[in-house]
Amino acid sequence: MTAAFFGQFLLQGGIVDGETLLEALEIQRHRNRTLLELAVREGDLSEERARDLDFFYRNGTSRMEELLESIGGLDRDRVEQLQVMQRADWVRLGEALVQSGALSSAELERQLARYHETTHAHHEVLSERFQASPKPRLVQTVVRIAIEHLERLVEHPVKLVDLVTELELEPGAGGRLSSQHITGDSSFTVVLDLPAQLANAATSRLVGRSLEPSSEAETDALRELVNLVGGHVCTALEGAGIRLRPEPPGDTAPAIAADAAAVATAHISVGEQTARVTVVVE
Amino acid sequence: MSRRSVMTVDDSAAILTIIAAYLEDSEFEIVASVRDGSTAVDRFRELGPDIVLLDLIMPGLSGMETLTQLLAIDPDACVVIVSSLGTEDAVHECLSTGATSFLRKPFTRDDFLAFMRKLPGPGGES
Repeated sequence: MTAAFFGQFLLQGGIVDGETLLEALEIQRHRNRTLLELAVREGDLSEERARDLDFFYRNGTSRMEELLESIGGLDRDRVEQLQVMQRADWVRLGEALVQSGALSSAELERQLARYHETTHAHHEVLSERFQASPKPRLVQTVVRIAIEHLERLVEHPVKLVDLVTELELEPGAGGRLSSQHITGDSSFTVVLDLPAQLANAATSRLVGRSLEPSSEAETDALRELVNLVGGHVCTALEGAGIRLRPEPPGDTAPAIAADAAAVATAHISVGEQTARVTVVVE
Repeated sequence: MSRRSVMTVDDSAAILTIIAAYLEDSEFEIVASVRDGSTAVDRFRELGPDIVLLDLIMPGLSGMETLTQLLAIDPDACVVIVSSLGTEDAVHECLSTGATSFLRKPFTRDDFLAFMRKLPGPGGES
């Protein structure tokens, strides 16, 4: 399952309480600076230029170090100097917890090992398949997480079959839709379109009891399913420096103009059935 | 020992059902399950539950707004945010507003009960 951030892992496991975690997060917020912040602070970039680089970072696939060179005009040596500066001051959450006395170093090591083992933290490489889609990192993350959640709920193999950059928002015969709009550094909508049988199986498993097909309870559970996907997408992309916030989910496809921005639709096979996950980017 | 009272707040009936099933036959008793923040504030005032499990993303009165109002009624209230959103920003915002803890969906019954038993208050392990 998509990794929660380490602090959430510790909190949920009862290793630290809310107050302790908050104290450590505050230590981090005072100390840690992004490369972009450092570049501005050190006078390498103007604030306006930094905003440009930030935009390219959030909307593309390049790492910030690459953008500082290619667009920011910094030479490689200077970028490396900024990285050294960043590392010198950077406090990881675990270190902050040790500094505050909440954890011993030994306990931190133990919990980190558990974290990496339990949550299979992702270091996502952009697959070639997604290169042509709008906001490729974002679309890949949505599709990956949708697959993870479906895998958790069904007994069939789940895999990505195809990815098209087309609008296919009319539900297939008997298809069940749920959607969630997400805003922040990017604005987009995730739409799940599940065939009726799959929708019923997945939602019944989610709730832990058999649901009447096409009932309000099933519709509600479909909304919760897309909510799980949306929330986990936001969490996953925070690791890439992209700040997002989901809105309450719905059970219809959003009204999309024919000339709407960019769309990617993933066809996902679930046993013999095909689900669609659409990302509509504004 | 008497059971600890719990109020669950989530616009999703599915989540309310899951939590109710998980807490059945446990040392926790659900005294109210509500689907919106405004009703949650009213029921909190009436019932004063030991623990509130509160969704973050809801239509109408949001989870954060609801949290603020609950804490205005009782600054010592044990309010746990329950959300699919587990970003550092969200966790930080909730904890700094006064939430006791933050539980990320989905969760198994065993993990959920272990988490609940560690919450502070009468009968808790903390």
